[in-house]
Amino acid sequence: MENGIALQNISKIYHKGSNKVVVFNDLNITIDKGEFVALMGPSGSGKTTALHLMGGLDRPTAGEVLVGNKVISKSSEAELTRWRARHVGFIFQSNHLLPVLSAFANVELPLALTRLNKVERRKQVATALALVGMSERANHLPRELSGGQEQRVAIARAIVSDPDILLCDEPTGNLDRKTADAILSLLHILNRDFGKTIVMVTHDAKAADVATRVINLEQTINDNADIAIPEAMA
Amino acid sequence: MINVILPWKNAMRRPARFWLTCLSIVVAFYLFTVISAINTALEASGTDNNQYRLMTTHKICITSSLPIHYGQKIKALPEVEKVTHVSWFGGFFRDESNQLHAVAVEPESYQLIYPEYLLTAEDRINWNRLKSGMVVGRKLAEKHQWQVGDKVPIQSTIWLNNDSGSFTWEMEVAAIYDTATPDTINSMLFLRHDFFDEARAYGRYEASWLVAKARVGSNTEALSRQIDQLFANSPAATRTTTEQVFIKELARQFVDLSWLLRLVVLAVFFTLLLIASNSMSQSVRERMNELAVMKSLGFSSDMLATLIYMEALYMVLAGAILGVICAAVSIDLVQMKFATFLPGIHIDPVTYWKVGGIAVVLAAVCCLTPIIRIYRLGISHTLRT
Repeated sequence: MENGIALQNISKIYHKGSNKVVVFNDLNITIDKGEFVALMGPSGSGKTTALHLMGGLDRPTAGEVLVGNKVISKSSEAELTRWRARHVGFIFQSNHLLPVLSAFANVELPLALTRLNKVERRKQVATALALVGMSERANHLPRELSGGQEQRVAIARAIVSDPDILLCDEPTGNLDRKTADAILSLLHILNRDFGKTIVMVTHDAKAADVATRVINLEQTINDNADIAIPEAMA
Repeated sequence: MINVILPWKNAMRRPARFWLTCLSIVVAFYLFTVISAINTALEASGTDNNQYRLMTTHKICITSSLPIHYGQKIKALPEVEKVTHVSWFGGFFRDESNQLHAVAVEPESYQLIYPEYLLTAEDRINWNRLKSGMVVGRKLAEKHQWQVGDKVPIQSTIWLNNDSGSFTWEMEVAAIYDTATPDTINSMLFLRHDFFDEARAYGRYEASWLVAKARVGSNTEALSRQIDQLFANSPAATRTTTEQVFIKELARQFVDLSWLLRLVVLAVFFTLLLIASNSMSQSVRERMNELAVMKSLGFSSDMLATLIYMEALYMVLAGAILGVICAAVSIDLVQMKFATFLPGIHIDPVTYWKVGGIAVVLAAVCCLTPIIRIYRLGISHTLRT
């Protein structure tokens, strides 16, 4: 792993009332910097949990989560918050844009946490929106956009602060094939041309095709082994 | 900017909920401001002018009269500088809705004791010359568009005029007075006591109350007792107090409900707190997902708490400002009505600071529950639900 992401001996147990739900027991995953990994597996296999662990949104019951040289599973909440702001961009299935803000303001949101001045912020937002092809719709509210357009804005929001890692939770799950393909090719460009490390949870085999590697989580749990995807699919 | 714009936009997501909650806040701050103004008026009677003014009324009841000649005995006391007598005239102009705060006074001695009613030398001469002359405050003159020289029929509800054989008293505007301080009533009507005394059908040579001006530095409490002792065994025993106490007692006959109103205000604030807290909790509960996303973007719990606090502050401040505006308007409207009992009723600048302080604290308290939820918010769990 070259400054990538590593889940080392991860256990994750949820408590639902008096019942214990074991999601992982001794899970090991490594993702290199600049990789585009698709996390696959059936429902309940822990794809989203793994993604949240990588982004510091959740903590393992046991084991360590390393991102770069940082053990984020041991960081305080405040440290994690700061770290996320600098290094991670999230893209969710439901784009979760703030409905009261325009596309532009939504994309600008993460930059409110930086020391950039207004001019610099605007420039960066304009670049991010241009990259996802949404410059024309900058002043539209989310409700005035289509699902695909909303997801593009969400991607712009995720990349506007130029994070190293993009964590995507079924980014094409709610989209039709054509729009989904457009979003996937955008992610592909971000990985190929901008060197972003991308981890994408998906159920869609076609979506997984754009990734450089697929990790089948069910198999990983069973065999504790990654599956390298064939060269032809990469 | 995000701390300013985003909370406002969030607050206005459901305008109906925002404004309905605001309305309850308006009522609370309206009551608070009005009661504060009444208290200010009650407390503001201790000015330089009136701390040595002693009011002597009938011991039994303020509506019973006292012989005017009591004034001579009072004046004979070494610590008394000046004495004057005043009779309550009351009355109205044209119809009963135009109630007047009219008193009959002895011009010369009254002006010496009450220098805050400003008259020019020419005005004084005019009034002395004209027996049926009346002096009115500028505000009252403006209200009825009276000018010096106008002959005005004033209706009395108490006093029968022997000359006219009716309750109508025709008087001429001799002068219009201004006031030395904003606290002084500028809507009074003064008529001459000699004119009043000669024409009234009953109660001659009597006055509603006597006013003594004590020498500066004298013990007004002891002097009050001394005055009352002078008439202790007479048919009309007296009760003497400082003007401050007199005004407060008079006012309390009309607004002694203030303690009750304070309780009402407390109850209203408590209810408002529940309403506003519920409104804020509901508003935040509806967008826990968005808050989880913001946390995932790198917004700390402190920053989100600030945004929620700002949202609550907007709501409470909007209500507080509207409440104060409504109170200011209504106080202005009733100023004439309460002028006699609550002279200078107005909103004290301190009240504005108090309103601001209460709003800041209230906003903090009513967003306490949502803020606790934010600190406890598990991002991963919330994003899945």
